[in-house]
Amino acid sequence: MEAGTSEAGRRLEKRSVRTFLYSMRIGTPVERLHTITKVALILVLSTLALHMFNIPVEEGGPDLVGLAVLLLIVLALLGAARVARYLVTSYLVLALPVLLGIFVWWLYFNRGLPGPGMQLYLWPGYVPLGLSTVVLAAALAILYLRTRSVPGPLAAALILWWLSLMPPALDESPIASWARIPFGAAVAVDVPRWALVVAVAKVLGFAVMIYSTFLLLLTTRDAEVAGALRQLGVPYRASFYASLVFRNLDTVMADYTNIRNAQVARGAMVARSGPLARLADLARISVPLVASMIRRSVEMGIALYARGFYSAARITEYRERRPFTYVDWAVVALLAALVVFDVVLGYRFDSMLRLAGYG
Amino acid sequence: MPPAVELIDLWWRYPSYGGEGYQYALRGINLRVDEGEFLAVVGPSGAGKSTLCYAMVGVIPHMFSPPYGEEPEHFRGEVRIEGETLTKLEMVEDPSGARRPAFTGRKYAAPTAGLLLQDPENQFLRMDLLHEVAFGAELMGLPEDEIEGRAREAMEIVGLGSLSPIAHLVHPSELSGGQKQRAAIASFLAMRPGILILDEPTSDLDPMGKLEVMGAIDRLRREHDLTIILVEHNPEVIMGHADRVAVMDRGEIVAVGDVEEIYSDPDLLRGHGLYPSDVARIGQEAGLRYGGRIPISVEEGLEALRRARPDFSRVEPDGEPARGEPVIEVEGVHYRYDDGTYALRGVDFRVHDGEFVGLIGQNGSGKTTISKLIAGIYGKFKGDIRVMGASLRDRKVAERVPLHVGYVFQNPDHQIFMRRVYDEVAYGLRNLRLPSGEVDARVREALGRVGLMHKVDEDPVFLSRGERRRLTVASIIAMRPRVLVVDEPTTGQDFRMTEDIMSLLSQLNREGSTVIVITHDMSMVAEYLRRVIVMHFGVVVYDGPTRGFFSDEGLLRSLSINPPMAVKLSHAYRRSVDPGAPALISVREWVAALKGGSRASPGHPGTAARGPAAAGGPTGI
Amino acid sequence: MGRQARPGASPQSLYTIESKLQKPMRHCLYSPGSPSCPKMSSEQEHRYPWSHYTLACCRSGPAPPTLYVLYAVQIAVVTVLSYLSVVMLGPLSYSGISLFYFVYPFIIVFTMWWGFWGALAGYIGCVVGAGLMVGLPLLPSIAYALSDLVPFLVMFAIYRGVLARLGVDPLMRDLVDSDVRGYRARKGLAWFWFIVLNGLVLNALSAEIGVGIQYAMGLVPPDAYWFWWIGWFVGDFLAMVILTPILVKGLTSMVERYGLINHGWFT
Repeated sequence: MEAGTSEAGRRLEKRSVRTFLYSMRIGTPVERLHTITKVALILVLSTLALHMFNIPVEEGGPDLVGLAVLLLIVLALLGAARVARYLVTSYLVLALPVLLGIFVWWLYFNRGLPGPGMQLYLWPGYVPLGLSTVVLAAALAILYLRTRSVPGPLAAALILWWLSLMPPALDESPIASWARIPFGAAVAVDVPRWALVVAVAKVLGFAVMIYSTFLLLLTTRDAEVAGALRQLGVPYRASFYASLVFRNLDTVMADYTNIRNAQVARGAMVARSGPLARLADLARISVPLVASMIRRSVEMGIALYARGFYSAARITEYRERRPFTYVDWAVVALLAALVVFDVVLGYRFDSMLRLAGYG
Repeated sequence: MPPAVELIDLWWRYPSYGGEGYQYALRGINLRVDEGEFLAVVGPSGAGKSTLCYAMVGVIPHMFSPPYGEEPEHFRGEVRIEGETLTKLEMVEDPSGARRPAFTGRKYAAPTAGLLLQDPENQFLRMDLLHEVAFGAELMGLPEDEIEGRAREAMEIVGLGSLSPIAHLVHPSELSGGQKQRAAIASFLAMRPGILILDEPTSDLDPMGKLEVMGAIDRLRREHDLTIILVEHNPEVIMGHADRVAVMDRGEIVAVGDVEEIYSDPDLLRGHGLYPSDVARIGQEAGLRYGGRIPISVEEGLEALRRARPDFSRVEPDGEPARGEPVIEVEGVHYRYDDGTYALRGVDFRVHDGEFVGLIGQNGSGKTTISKLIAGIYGKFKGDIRVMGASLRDRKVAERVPLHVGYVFQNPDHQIFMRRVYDEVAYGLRNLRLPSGEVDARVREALGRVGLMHKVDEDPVFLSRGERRRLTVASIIAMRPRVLVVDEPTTGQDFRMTEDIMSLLSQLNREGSTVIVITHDMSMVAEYLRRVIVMHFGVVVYDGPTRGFFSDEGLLRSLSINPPMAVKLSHAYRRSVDPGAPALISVREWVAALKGGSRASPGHPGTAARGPAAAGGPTGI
Repeated sequence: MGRQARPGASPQSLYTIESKLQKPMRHCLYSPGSPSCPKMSSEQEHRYPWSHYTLACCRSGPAPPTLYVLYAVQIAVVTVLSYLSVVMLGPLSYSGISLFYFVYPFIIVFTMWWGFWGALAGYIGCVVGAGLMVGLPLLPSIAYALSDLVPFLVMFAIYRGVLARLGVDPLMRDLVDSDVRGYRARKGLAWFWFIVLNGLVLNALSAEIGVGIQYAMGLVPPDAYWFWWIGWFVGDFLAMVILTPILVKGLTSMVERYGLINHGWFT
């Protein structure tokens, strides 16, 4: 039949179920989580992450350990839902270069922090050949093999990152160079030392936010959303409306793809007359897109009318609500604990480490 | 017993917001459908069949409400279902005493009558199968366990029972078109309607989907007492199910009668641009008789043939096709979509210059995928594809391929980008950077070929469906591609439009273009295409003469393909009368064998079998 | 494009009509239901190109079924296009600022036609399409997506409330046509207001809300603030100026023909 099902005699079993983005396995604890719990999870974790990486330097700086703990929670949940593989095999892998970009932005554009500075090379005056070069080459190679091209900004970000691993203090270490090829003059920038900590904190914090969002998308079924809205008390027609929007996301995406293909079939890729014309081409999809939008609306309106939507006086709620289970309460308890610890009591996770004798 | 549906002197026209009014879509319709009856409605495109269906359910006039005060200029008459007034325009007294026209009656036909539309996608309104099937019952306000019971029962009736245990987990994208249509039927069944109205429910489906949906309707008919009104093109379906047939044209019902009455009159049908049954066409032209009239079904045709003496020597045998150079070579192609679906698992075939080939298979067999690869629309495949010798593995070649392989998409609305017919055809040419004089010449030539020159300044939005389809063909042929791939040119078209499109493609083929047609329409394949490539689950399962394909009953069954009536007649004839007879596959061949008029050979439509409507080029559609 | 009021007649200037009314009554042309205005004959009402398109709030009865579904479908369209805007042309940053946010003109036209619903589509498109689906976190998105809601609501109010009375078409047809429904379009004026209001003022407002909220949440490094801001501003500005006229020219007549343009904020 379709992906994720198998026939056992006449009864069909479904092993995985289609979610908002790709699909997830049935039977995992994460699958049993209620949508509201998942939304609460990402909201609470995001707030905590925001709080943790915004702590000013004067108050001790960002709580790196805390952020790492949050990230581990998110990754553990992704693993438990067996959806972790999508993070690297699909377009979601673009989150990694984004995180890299975040690191670079926050490292170089955050000069106003107190404390001692350090020097980072924009260009060390030589081309270093060392461990870091090997890592850089490997990263670029993997990228090329996966996507057959290396986008300029991404390559630039990678190179900046590579360079930022080489403060002058590391000049002699093997990370920087086993050998050097002199080339040009050294250009260094003064960057506060705290900027490095802050940059790492931002990366961790953003990773928490981004991956918890992916968790939501990868493990929530479209059908659950309308039910969750009902459970929150949203009136029937409004929640139906939301499910109508979801229903159309797929069909609009399919329409867009068909229209774009039709353009390609008419030579849209061949006409290389500059970026302006290319953009005008993009605008031209609007005509068939809106035309099919209107047609679709008319037909769906008719289908709704025929089904009796507009004459419905009393609408039964059929299997919309989902009860909260022990898994939900466990997650809520965990979140509550985190909130109490971090916000209410104001503790920091790295202070726990210090107490234990580290740092 | 009151009639199930009664339309009394019904007139309707759609309200317009652009200033000019529309013509009346329904003109004085008087129709009576009795309880338990199965009525088929046939008619050419634009006849008003869908409008008729909408009127029976209340969509018209309530969803397309005329502007306040103008109701009498749009609606006249009365619609009744099961004896109760659904819609009627009456003079009603205002609280202030003034009299004004207003609609009275029930207004909503649900749950007494249900309406099924053509497009399975736009009818699936919820996000999973179970809720979709339960939707109608939910809206009725029934108690939860009642809904549960009815939904499960309905799924069993339409043949989706095996999905019932996991129905709450099945996403609409995981269902085929046929399954979605059946889900919609189930949704109505859960409402326990007395009347079910189906507006071309199988037009957009592949052969398997058609069989599934008609099977569900069959079961409904046999086990439940529903009144069914079916709008349909295919005579075989109608003859197999309907009690009566109503013929519509230009907003009027021009004939109503028993199935035999209507279908044994091919001239009536052809005069209104409709499909007569293959057997009736053969019967009429070759003078076969069954019980005093023309035979209409395969069984009747067989009986009539027993008394006739066909001379099969009059049918030209298939000669070896003159093969030009191969223009398309596909070798060991594998292709996987982004979501992991394995669409092609090793496809091999060759298409030669000047061929007219059919590419057939169920939805999901990979036929559309391989065509889009050939046309350069998709990229990144394993294996090799060569177009006129150049391999598509080379990026530069792949980018330029759309100029040599023209692809006409199935849905004309997806490929019309401009607001003037001229600009639309010129769009592709301007991408080719041709000088404006050349562009102008080619635009006019292409529009002339498809018969749209008189609409050159018109806005495509205002064209009829058939005209829009011809416009899309024009915009591709203006680019003068060597190979033309046409995706489902005849789906949902009436007989006249099908003939016009196919004769246009035949003409292009005769002038030297290689034409590949992707289609589900087996009658058309048998009449026009000499060679077919059949795909199933990503591989080619048959590649050769059409005759060989249709002769292989086992293969047809295993692929769930319903052969055209002329082929079935041949199978039946060989089974019960003369096993040594050659397999005939089209009406032309049968007529030639029986009458011996013009020598018909496969793939070259003779003029004998064409009716009065087909004289001359494309008629105004 | 654009139907002539009388075939063969040259387009009349709006001021010819206006001058026939005394000055205090001029606003009556644009709000025919206003209590202080004399009742226009339906003939007069029908002749004004945009007398139907006002800032009325609600009409009695539910929205017609087609419109009800259409509002939902256009939200889906804007969401998909938001997603594509960010993914196709590359994010300038992780805040979902695209180099060329080409969904922006779509939100403009949809708001022009459908009022509140178009602006809502912009908001949801930003949160879901340019946000969730690309991995940007929900919490900040909900807040800074107001940058895709507020400016559009303001635009709708100003165009239909104020500019309509100055002779500028609230459907922006006068950006591309020389006459609108038989009346000569004031192209220069239309373009002036288009650039100043949409391009500069509202765009700046959008950038300010968007980047401002992001900065306040600690998402934007302090030294990069103006860089971000300019990126947002320019990305939207270019898209708007280049694509909006194409959309208006290509689509308005189609949508109008089906009678689908809102008469007020909601329906």
